[in-house]
Amino acid sequence: MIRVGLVGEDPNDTASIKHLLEKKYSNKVKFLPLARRIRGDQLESAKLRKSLPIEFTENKCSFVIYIRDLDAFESQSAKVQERKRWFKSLDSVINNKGILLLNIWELEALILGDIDTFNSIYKINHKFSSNPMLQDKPKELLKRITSHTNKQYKEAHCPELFKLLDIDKIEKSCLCFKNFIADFEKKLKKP
Amino acid sequence: MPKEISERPKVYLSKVHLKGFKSIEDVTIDFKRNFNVLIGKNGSGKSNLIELLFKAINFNRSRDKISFEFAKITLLSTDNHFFSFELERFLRKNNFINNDEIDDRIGVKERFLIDDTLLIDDLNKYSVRKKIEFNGKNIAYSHNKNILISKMGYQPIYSLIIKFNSPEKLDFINAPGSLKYDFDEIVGFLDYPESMNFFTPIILEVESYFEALEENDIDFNTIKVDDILDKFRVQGSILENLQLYSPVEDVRFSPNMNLYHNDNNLIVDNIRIEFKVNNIWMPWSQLSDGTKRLFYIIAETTYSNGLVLIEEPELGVHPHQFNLLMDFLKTQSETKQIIISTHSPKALDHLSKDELDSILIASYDLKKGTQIRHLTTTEIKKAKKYMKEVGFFSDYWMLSDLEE
Ligand SMILES: Nc1ncnc2c1ncn2[C@@H]1O[C@H](COP(=O)(O)OP(=O)(O)O)[C@@H](O)[C@H]1O
Ligand SMILES: [Mg+2]
Repeated sequence: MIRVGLVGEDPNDTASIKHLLEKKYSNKVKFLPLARRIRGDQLESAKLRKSLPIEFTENKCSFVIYIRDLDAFESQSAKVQERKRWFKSLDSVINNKGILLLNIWELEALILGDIDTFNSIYKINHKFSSNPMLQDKPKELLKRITSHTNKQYKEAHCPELFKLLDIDKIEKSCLCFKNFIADFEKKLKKP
Repeated sequence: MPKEISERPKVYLSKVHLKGFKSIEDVTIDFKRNFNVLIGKNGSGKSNLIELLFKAINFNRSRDKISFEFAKITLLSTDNHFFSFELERFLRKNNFINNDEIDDRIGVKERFLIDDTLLIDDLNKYSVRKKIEFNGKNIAYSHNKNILISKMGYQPIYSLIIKFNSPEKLDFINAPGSLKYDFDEIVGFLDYPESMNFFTPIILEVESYFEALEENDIDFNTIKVDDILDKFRVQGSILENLQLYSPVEDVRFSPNMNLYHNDNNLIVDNIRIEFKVNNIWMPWSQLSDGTKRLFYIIAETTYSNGLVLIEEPELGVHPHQFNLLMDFLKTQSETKQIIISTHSPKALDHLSKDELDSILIASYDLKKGTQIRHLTTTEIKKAKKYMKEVGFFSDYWMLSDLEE
């Protein structure tokens, strides 16, 4: 088993991605969240730079997956650069072997990649055939399309929801996730 | 005007000016539309402020004695109108009444402004009929804010206060309750229980079920407990939030209710709810104090549609559980305004660096009483430095001079 650390908004983003990746990799990878209950803003804080090396070593991880929302489109390169700088800089306090999962706009874009599953859970019939990477504020969209249902979509649903999503569909329709999986597979071959 | 009340524009508390209540002598406060956090040392006046806000917002001259000198409550609507209600205590000069009985001489002057235009001035009785014009319509003024807001086309706000101490009497929860339905009266249920607000629609549902039985001349002998048990249902949104954010896995009305009837009425008694924790059903008395408080906050906040005031939500709650509770409150505040007071550094760590202006600091001044302020721009700058270079906002609160 390869031990891989997870750093991102916790538990929402980390548990969601853990559940999604486990569908394909649970026989060879153990995923370990390394910054419990950390909030989006706090990912930038100096405290994490101090605690991360301890957790990384104690949990005997090979490398870390960093999960961040871009809150913008991929074409907004200044934003992309800012996130990449954050990732490089934080990863430098461990072993510089980490990989970044940069969600275009936000985690919810991945849900749009498998809208059929979302529709069946919320008992709606939303047509979404465009590219999830070109949808701004997908979280708002999901809230809007479920606003008249019994159970309106909430961020806190993500960890359970991601257990049900189809990882292959998401890989096909979300370029950011496809690129991430390519990086991840490479790492698994020679960590 | 949309028919569905929930689709109408909303109002929220934008600004208050308060005078003369316990430690509060004269304060003016601006609030954020979504989430507000009140901090301050013991005795600075946080509880007084929360109590006064609730009293002033819900003041009803036909029901309440005014317990403060002055309040100006300014609501801002989502379509950008300011509605200001002013309440001012005065002493009637009335020689007919015995001078000793000050209480009977206390009156309330009321003013109402829309977008700073005074429309109702010095109204001091509630029998006076006045009209105001809004959006080209004539509307009969009502001293009841919710009625007025409704008539103007907005959602009324039913505010909620959750104090440091829970109410002692909670029918259906810490004591079995009963409902008595009277056949001959126009009103169905004679007494409503004294309990949490979320029971209201459940009771209405049961009441309309009984009304339908009565109208259709159904023989009450054929009605069984199981038939009515089905009508006693806790709202799905409350159950969902309890599952997501608390150790309570489920809530139900105990199947041990009793049903009797005679010629004049139908009585359901031994009504109480039960809680499922760790897969075991238990009564309120077996829940831990922290779980009780979580239930109270989550159920009532979910049910509320408007201003929610909560004193120290962290009381008795484990820090990890409190983290979830704060997630809950932040999520709820997307659709309803929330003001909490807190001594918990963890609560402030839930604010991102762009939300630091939602913090209110209370302090006590020997000459001026309770004072309330926001962080200054210098403090915000310094806090951001702490958040980047040291750790979290709470490190700034703990290590620096914020409340010196
Ligand atoms: N009727 C009153 N008149 C003037 N001051 C009062 C009155 N009642 C309480 N206080 C003062 O209010 C302060 C307590 O305020 P409180 O809101 O309980 O503080 P906290 O911030 O701890 O919640 C005390 O200093 C108390 O002396
Ligand atoms: Mg207090």
